[in-house]
Amino acid sequence: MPFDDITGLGTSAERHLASLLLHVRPDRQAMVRAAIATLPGTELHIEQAGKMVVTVEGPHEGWIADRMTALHLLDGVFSAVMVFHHIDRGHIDRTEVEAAEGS
Amino acid sequence: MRPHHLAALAALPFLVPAVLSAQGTPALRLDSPFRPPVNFVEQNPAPPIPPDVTDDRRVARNYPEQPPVIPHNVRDYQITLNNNQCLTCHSRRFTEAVQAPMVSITHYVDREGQTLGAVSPRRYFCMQCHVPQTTAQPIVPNTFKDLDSLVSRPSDRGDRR
Amino acid sequence: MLDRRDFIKAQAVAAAAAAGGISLPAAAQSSLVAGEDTALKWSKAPCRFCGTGCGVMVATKDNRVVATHGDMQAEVNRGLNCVKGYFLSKIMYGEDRLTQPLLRMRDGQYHKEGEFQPVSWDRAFDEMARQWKRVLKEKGPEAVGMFGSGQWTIWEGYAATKLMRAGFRTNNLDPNARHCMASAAVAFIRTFGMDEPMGCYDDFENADAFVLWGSNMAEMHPILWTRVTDRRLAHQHVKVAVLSTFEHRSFELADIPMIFTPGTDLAILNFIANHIIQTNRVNREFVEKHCNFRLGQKDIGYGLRPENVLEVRAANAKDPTDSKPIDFDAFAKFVSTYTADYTAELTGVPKERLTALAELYADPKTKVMSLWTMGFNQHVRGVWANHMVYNIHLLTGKISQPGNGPFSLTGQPSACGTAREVGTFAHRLPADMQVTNPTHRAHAEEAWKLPKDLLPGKIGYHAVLMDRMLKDGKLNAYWIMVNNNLQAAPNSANETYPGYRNPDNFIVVSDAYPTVTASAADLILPAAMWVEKEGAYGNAERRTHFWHQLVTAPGEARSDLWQLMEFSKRFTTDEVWPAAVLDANPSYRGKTLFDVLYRNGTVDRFPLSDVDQDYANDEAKHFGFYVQKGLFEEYADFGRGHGHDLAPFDTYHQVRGLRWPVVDGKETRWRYREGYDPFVKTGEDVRFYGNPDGKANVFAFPYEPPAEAPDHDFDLWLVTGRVLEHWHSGSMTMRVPELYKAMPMALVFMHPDDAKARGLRRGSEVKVVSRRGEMLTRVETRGRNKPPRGVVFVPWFDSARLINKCTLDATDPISKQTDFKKCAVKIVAA
Repeated sequence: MPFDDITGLGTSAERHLASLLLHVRPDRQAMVRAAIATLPGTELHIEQAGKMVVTVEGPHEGWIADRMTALHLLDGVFSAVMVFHHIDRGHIDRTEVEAAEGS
Repeated sequence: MRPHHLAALAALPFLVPAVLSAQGTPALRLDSPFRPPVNFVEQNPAPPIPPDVTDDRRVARNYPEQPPVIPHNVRDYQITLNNNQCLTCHSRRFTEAVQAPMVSITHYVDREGQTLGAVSPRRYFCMQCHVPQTTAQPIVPNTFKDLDSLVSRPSDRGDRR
Repeated sequence: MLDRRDFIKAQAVAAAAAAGGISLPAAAQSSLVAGEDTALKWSKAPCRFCGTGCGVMVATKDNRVVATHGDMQAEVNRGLNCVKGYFLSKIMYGEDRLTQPLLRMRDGQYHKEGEFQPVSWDRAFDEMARQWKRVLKEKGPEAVGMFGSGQWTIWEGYAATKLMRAGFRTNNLDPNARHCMASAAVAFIRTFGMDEPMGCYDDFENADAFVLWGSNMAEMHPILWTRVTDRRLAHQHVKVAVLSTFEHRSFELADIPMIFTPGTDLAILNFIANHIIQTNRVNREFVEKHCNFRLGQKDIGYGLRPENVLEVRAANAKDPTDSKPIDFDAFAKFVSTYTADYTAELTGVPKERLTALAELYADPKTKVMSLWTMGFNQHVRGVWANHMVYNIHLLTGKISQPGNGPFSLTGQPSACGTAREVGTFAHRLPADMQVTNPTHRAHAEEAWKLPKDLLPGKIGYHAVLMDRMLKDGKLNAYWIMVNNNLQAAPNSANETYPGYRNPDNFIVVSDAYPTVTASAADLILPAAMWVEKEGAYGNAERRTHFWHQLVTAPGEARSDLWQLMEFSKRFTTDEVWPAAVLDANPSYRGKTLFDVLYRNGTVDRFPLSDVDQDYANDEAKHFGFYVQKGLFEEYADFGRGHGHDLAPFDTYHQVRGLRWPVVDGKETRWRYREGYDPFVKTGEDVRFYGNPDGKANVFAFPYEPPAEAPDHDFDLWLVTGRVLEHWHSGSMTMRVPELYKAMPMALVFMHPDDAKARGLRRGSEVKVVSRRGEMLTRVETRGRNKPPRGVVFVPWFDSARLINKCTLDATDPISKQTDFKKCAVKIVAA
């Protein structure tokens, strides 16, 4: 999945990654799959009858939360539960070290 | 309130074999499995109360799911029915101003898996999971190996949050 | 080269898949992580620590645990862990794990005063068997004993109970749970005829009020505290009352905080009963249909040695359990002396607060949950305190329904599952049966396919009595498993250590780490722990849950199950059973205890091929059959059909635990109530079917003072207990660097004015001194625990600072559980 300007990752210092467990109506699974494909930063990894594992990547918590809400509101999705959330600040290390030394 | 400057990349202290106790413990006799404080009969002098680590340097986690330890002083922090002092810096609204890490959004999810607008009440008492560290040195080293060292990939130096 | 982002993403996907119970296809897994070498295997397990019984997901790689997190699917904790639970990954990796048997030797032979030397398992068991046979020959079965644990897996406790009672023919088997919840267990049986709570954790989401009786759930049961917190903060009408002898973290959530004088909780409980009666809020219909009233024995002593003046003076020390029937009016009259004025005066709690607390129970519209652990149980009147809290729930009918109920919390992961349900107490058999009951013994003999009249009917030594008997030279061969009793037992310098080092005695300690207890042993056996073996625990809400072996134990460390069963091979029936029994049952002659206890056609009936091929099982492989399954199924038959029903073995490997009784595949959340409990018939509404008449017993007991109180010479109350970061004696958590650094030593928490009055301040080095012993530490006046003047608190996790040298070995005379919460000390500069 490309990181592009839509996700904002080109400019932001932080990267957020979350994985979600979706419970879906099996008969709507194809529709849900198609909808996920249209959501930037969202990726479907595993699918079983009634369940999906999706990752969401973005520049900040709000972004992740928005995607989660969007997934939750998709027709055919019973629930979207976040299982894992990771924040990477690898790009701003130097700034932070300087700040700490100055304190 | 003092802003909490953050320093990622504190050296990975848990992966370095810890030295023996700062309590002045002599080297082990090889035929005894017992670290010297373990002795029923003798009285061990009490070392001074070790101070808290307050250098504000973020400590790398052992695995992504581990709650980060607290690298600053929390003495007399009030967490009561009406007030949670931790969240005055770490909640979504304030992190920008004080540069404290924001609580993970996993903390906005309730018991039923629903996302809330604020930190879930079940996560209200921060120090059930996040604890400060003193400068005391562990008596017994721990040989836990994280995944990075097991797959022998070069360290990414990252703060794995 | 593996990209970091892909790597993190793979972990994220694996975590979500594990949470959803989705198995990752191998192909998908390797494509996800761009290389096989990072593939993790995630499996479920219960947490190793307290009785809450949280579920965790454990990641393994190359035969090592590399990560853990809270199990989203586990109903108990829904993804959360406390700080200890989050560091489970590290508990097996302390550098000083014991990896080979160690025997005290001098000149190549065992010697009581020798130095520990590594020996083979054969050599270790040879010496141990030699000592056991010597003692059995010289003194008989009453001189051998075992001290077990609520940390044993279910099958380990069950194998131990068979070995001791049926093999060695002694009931000198007791668990460290004696120190933990014997008072609760005894009162359950005396009140309801059956052990363990009627309600479950679902009560947390249904109650309008929570009352913590001496419990500090914020630190000791943190995940259950998240459920209380969730309920309180999300529902403004909900009230939390916290009662303790000192202020602690649970007070942060308290609407009704209450500090009372140690021991006077009994008076508060009787005051509440009186308040309910005086304000006409007794649920008359419930009481008439479902309750009996009894007057209990008073002045029952303090469980000290019989020659102690307190025992000699007590009128009924020899017969503490007696009681006689009374009616409601007599009960009402009995508690009527506990007025608000009298109780406020005795307890030091303002009248208004007492009344506010009593109203939580009296108001019929308030669903109230009472919670307690060591505050009640470690109490010279612990059984009374448990009875008295049942009294107030029974008087109001607030029991066995969602949100309403008395709930006894437990401190060990399988205090319920193993210590209580399996029956590893000196007086118990599986499924609440008693060793003194001939019918129960006959039932066990039949279930175990053993000769009639084999099982001994005399109650064995309880924990504190074991220590006294070791010291007095009457108990001489002693095996300690999964516990650290030299750190945990009361008055240890006078009553525990001398017994371990008594030259007549041979002391064996099985542990994963070299504890204080191990240091005083004669033989140390290295134990496999937690996910190094297949296991089962039972938590405080009757939930039985299983885990698979996920990694191999280090070196020659072996599980307690392996140790018990292997040791049994060294004895033949001819050596340990009476000739009369063998004469009457000659077919048992010449067999080993292993043959008659574990190769009895029941335990060994499941083949190795039944073991899940995705997991190792070192014991099954070694013995050649699925030992755990065989032991579990034989044990489960004791309870099936009469209210202790367990599901089939294999079911538990699939689910996140089930609360017994499990009938037709369905667990039971509220016992004794129609609609929830399959053993209550339609139209019965409520039936306490543990008792033949289906009624619960309300007992009248008075307030009686503790065994020791501060005086001129020893002027402070000493209360001992735990802290959030360490579990029990700290043998696991003190080896996790983050937990060690968070709480590296046991301090004495005291009021700043008490410190000042003694010329002390925070950080001063002091001696905590009692009439029995002393301990060196430093003063903490600003910590999380804030005792009132006259009270100090010292935790017992620190092996370098043994506070139990100071405590008093007074017990509840009925439950024989030690009171670790009340004795007198002084604090002096060191």
